[in-house]
Order: sequence, then C-alpha cells, then structure tokens
Amino acid sequence: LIPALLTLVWFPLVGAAVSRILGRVPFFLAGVAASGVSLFLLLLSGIPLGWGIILLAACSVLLLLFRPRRREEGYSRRSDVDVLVVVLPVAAMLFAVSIIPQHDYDGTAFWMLKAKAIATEGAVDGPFFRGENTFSPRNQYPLLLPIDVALVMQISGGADDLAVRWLFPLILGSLALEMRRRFRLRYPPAVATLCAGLLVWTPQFALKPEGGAMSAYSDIALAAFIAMAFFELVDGTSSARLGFWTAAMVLTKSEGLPVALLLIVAGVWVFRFRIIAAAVPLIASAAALVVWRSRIEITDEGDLFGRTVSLLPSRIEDLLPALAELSSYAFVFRDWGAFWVITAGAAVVLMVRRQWRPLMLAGLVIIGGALLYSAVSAVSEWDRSELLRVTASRLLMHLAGPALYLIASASGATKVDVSHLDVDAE
Amino acid sequence: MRSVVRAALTLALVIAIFLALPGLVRTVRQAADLRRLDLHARRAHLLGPLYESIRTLDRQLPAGEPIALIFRQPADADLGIYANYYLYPRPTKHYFGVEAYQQDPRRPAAIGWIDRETAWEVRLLSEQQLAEEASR
Repeated sequence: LIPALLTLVWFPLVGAAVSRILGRVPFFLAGVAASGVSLFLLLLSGIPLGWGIILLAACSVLLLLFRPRRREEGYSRRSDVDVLVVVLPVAAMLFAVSIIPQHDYDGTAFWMLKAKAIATEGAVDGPFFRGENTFSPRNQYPLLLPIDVALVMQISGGADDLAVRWLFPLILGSLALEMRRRFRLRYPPAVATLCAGLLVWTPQFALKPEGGAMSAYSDIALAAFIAMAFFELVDGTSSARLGFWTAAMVLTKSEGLPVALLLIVAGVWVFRFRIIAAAVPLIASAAALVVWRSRIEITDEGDLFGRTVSLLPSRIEDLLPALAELSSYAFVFRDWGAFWVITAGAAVVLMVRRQWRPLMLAGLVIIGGALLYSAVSAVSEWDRSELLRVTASRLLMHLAGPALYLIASASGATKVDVSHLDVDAE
Repeated sequence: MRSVVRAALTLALVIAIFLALPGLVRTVRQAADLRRLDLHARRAHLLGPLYESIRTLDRQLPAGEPIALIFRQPADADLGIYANYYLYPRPTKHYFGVEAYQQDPRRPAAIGWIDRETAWEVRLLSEQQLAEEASR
C-alpha cells in the first residue's frame, strides 16, 4: 500500500512543481516526465539515486513554497458523472495490478529488470549496465520509466514489482483525463468524454499483455508524452512545454527521438523562432542519452536511428510495403476495435469540411510517425513481417493522441478559443 | 455531418467496451482469486515450474554466488533472460551450449541448466550431471 500511495503523492507533487515553471501541465504525467528526466541527468552526473531523490524532492517543495502559481485560465475543475467511463476501467486495472504480480515477458525481463538494477545499484552506469554481473537485454534502451519505477522502489525500501505496478494504469488514466479536460475546452463535453473513454477502453491500451496498461512496457508513457507535446503544437502557446515533453520522449523509448524531431519540425511552423525554447531541452536529453550510451555495454540492438538513415536510400522500395503492413495492424479488430476506422473517417470529414489545420497537424504526426516506424522495419536485420507482428500494435499506440484529436475535431465545433491561454508561459 | 461522426464515435466506444470488458472482468476475477495467496504462491500460479525452480535454486546457493545459465538450444535463452529478473541481484552468465561453458576460463561454478523441451524450469546441475546432459 505504501508504494501505491507514494506513486499517488510523489509524481503529482513533482508535476505541480513543474507547473510553477512551465504553467498548466497535467500533474501526474509531468511528475513522471520530470522525475525520470531529472534523475537520469543527476545519475549521469554521478549523484546516487538516493541523493537524487532527496534533491528532486527539495527542489519541488521549494518551488511549490516560493514560486507563485501561474495563471490558469481555461482550467476546468468541473467533473461530471461521465468521468466514470474513464475512472471505472482504470480502477479495475489498479485493483488487478495491486494483487497480480508482474509477469509479461518484455516488461519483466527488460524494463523491470533495469528498474531493479537501478534501485539496487543506485546508478545508471554501474556494473549491471556495464554488463559485468548479468546479461541485460536491450541494455541501451532509454531509462525514464525504469528510473521512475526505481524511485518508488527506493523510497518504499523494496525492489518488488508488485509495489510499483500502479504507475502504469495511472499513466493511462492521467492521459485520458487530461485529454478529456483539454477537449472540453474546445469541443462539446460529450465528445471529450467519448474520446477519453475510447482511449482507456480500447483493448490495446486496456488489456494487451504487450504494451497495455497492466504490463510494464514504456509504450503508454511514450504515447502520453507524444500526446502532450502534440497538444502544445495544437495550442501553440508554449514552446517551452513542447520542449519539456519532447525531452521526456527521447528518454522514454528509442522511438521517442525521431518522433520528437518530427514534432519540432512541425513546431517551427507553429512557433517560428520561439521553437528554440523547445529545441534546447530536446538537444540536452538527446546528448545525455548519447553520453550514457558511451559508458555502457551495447548488447543486442545496434544504433537503429543511424542504421535507418544510412540504409534507407538503398531499400527505399521496401518503405511502402512496410507502411502497408504496419497500417494493416491498425485494423486488427480484437486489439483496436473501430479506433483507427473512425480516425480515418474523421480525416475524410475534415478534408470535406476543409478544416486543414487539425488535419495537417495530426496528419503530419500520424503519417510521419508511421513512415518513420516503417522505415525502421524496412531496414531491420529482422524479418520485416515478424518484426511488425511483435511491434506494430505498440507503435500505433504512440500515435493515439493525435488520432483522438482528429476524431474530436471532426465531431465537434470549436466551443472556446483557447489560443490566448497561458501566453505568459514562455 | 458532425452528428454522424459523434454517432460513429459512440459506436466505437461501445465496440471497445464490448471487446475489453470480458477481459477486464476476467483479470479482476483472477486478482480476487489470487488475493488469498501469498506473493510467492501468486507468482508460482502465474509462472508455474519456472518460478518454483528459480526459487529453489536461489535458496540452495549462497547469497551472491554467481550462476551460469546454460541453454541446450538457442531458443532456451528466452527462459534464461526471464530467469535473470528473478535471480537478480545474483550475478548470472549466459552460455549457448555446454561447450561454450566448458571453454570459458572464468565460468561460474554453479550451473543452471535450461532445456525447455524437457521442462520449463532452471535445473541446478553438478559438473557431472552437466556432462551427462551434454552426452545425450
């Protein structure tokens, strides 16, 4: 119970502190992102995990005590009974994961093992990551989520996975509630609730042992950070917040960096010169990742990004078949229901109505993201079909935020113009 | 047009609930059933002999003693990687085949044998038992 309560208190506390610097952010998700990013940087500088946690807690408390709350227009605290469509399934997941121990393969063997090692060694470049005491598969994967998990383990004084499983459904619930809140500012409340409900009930998010909220994969966290960064593009008010979320993306999964770059490119269109405020944290986190990787053992997966860039020109003819194969997983009914069918329908509606802005923004991220993932699978050493069979549905999860924005845009008239909000957040 | 999209969105949510609800109910029921068991019994229930064997092996070896995990077939490595998690922080070293183990001058003395064609477990073997396995 103590680790579960810690999860409920720590991350919102850190997120609230982040909001004193960046303005309106969802506390839980911002806490997950800020804890992971700042502890990664502290660990990389040689500060042990325990001291890093104390430092982060002290900074958060000081910010909350001494930095005034920012203006929060448009922040609706109203919560109707329809929120149950999100709360009920998440509550069911929390009940289940508080009893059923971790056992999904990748979550256990890859992600949780890293968390256990960080909590045990108090470092991200200790004997475990140098390959000196055990075999660490995918050793060079980014560590944001394992660091957050290790943090809860460290504070609660144990390294048992059961203690930390709440984190994953709470990330999904927090993303859904933030989506509902944001959409209610622009669209009718029913549309906002339907979109948030669709997110948490879609089997790929709710149930799938590979990447779902009851597994320990990092895909939902990456989907959440991509969604948050994307919504900053939509609002166009704070490039600093865009930078914050993209920095978290880079340190969450390998796919985070190329998608972050895509969002920054789109951000140039939205923010013009102000995009520099977003590029700085992104570059810093990417540099930190490179430094960390130079200190550890690279195990069973090489430089995917570099490999894709260098090999793609010679295999360009494989790109479209890979894209077609990836897209086919969007229509696997038992995993996605009608999620992507209605996304495609929404895109057509927006096209007919000539609503180009939502179409362009979401289209850039969805099509750009799908092309990036297809490119990686096209040049992979693995059999392409086999690779997509095990990854495609999870990769599609990353694009859920922009997809739901497309659906909401096609479903409802803009209710409130929020473009003026938080203009002082820069 | 908007009302059509909203109707489609409602239908999409109903479909998602229809698809996810049975699985969610099943998971909650499983949790309610497992609630009576202690943590190790829950893991044993979920993972079967693999978890039991890792726990037995872990109890038999002195704390911190390194163990070699030897795979009969390359596909056995999956179980070895999974076993790492439950063995950690005990140091482990992976070997594909007996020969690889025997040729390593810095091999750990303790041997965990994985052959999932025989059983989904990690068996603690002596050098002699390992030689017998190799000769099969």
